Amino acid sequence: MKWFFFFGVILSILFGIISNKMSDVSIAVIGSSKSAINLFFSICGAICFWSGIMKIAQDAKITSAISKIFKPIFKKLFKNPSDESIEAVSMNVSANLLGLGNAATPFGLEAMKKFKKSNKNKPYASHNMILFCVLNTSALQIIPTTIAALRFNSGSTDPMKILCPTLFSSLAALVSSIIAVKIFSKIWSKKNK
Amino acid sequence: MTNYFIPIIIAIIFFVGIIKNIDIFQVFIKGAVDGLKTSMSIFPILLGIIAIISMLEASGFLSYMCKFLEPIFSIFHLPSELIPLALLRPISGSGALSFLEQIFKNHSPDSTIGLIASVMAGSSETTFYTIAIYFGAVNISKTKYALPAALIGDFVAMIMSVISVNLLC
Repeated sequence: MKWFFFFGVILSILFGIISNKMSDVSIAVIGSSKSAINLFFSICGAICFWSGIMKIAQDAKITSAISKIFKPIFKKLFKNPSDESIEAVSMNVSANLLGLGNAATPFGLEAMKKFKKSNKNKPYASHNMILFCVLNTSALQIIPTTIAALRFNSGSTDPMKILCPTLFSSLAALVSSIIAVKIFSKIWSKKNK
Repeated sequence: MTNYFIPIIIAIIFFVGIIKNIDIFQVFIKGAVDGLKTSMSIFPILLGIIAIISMLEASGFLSYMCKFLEPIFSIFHLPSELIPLALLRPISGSGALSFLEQIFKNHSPDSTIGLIASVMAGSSETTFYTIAIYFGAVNISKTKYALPAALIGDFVAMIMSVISVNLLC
């Protein structure tokens, strides 16, 4: 992450000079805090609301019922996951599948905390954390609600036509990222021996 | 159908909660407070990421990258109009959506390009942002191979969106 920060600034100065857009870059820095706070407000409410709803689901043991469905898959995918991390991961995945991205985030963060705990609070990423992150970045969902809504607003005659290809392509992305994680983790552990 | 989804899920959760004799209002408030703490811990990360990304966007870095990557993407028959979308998608959710809207305006959403663009945007996530938030929330800055693995997935999603539209639409 620190390299992203460092090279991000260097590259934007470099390209700002090349394309003579340094004034735009300066404006972007100042404007960005405003757009960050706008984004914060727009997601904060949703995160709080869904955290509340999901807390009820947790107390009513709905989440542990759902996690039982996913348990066999995740036991194979992750390395010795604890029961509480499986529960958080299951809820995150089911919210993602339903297209409720904002409801998925609090569970995702909880899952990360559980993974950190079982990694004995070490300051670097564990295999399980990375695998879980990759599950989230591949955007697997049953109904691509946001895109379908955008298509509808732009006058599409068949907004849901993308359903099958989207599922297909994000599934392919998911599988290839999981394979990548497995290969990288092998290389990594060899290098550290 | 999708319109019923969210209210029904909430209703089911409330219903089961009442049956199990849970004070659903109190528990909701408790959970929402946790949500507030979560959001607060995310904000500094958002702030940093958005600053860097908007600098990169403003500097014209992306348009240079597009030119640079055009030959690679054209091997996979990705239309050149969609290269900016492929680059924008992993770093900026709102940027990608507004670009998608532009494509829908210039071509119709039901044209081949419109379809590929939709699938592309729908089948990947704002990778940088997700990784930053997830690892940031647990205070981990050594993310090891998380970013490369996720970007490989994004790249596959881009290529597969062309293939799957040609096959399935």
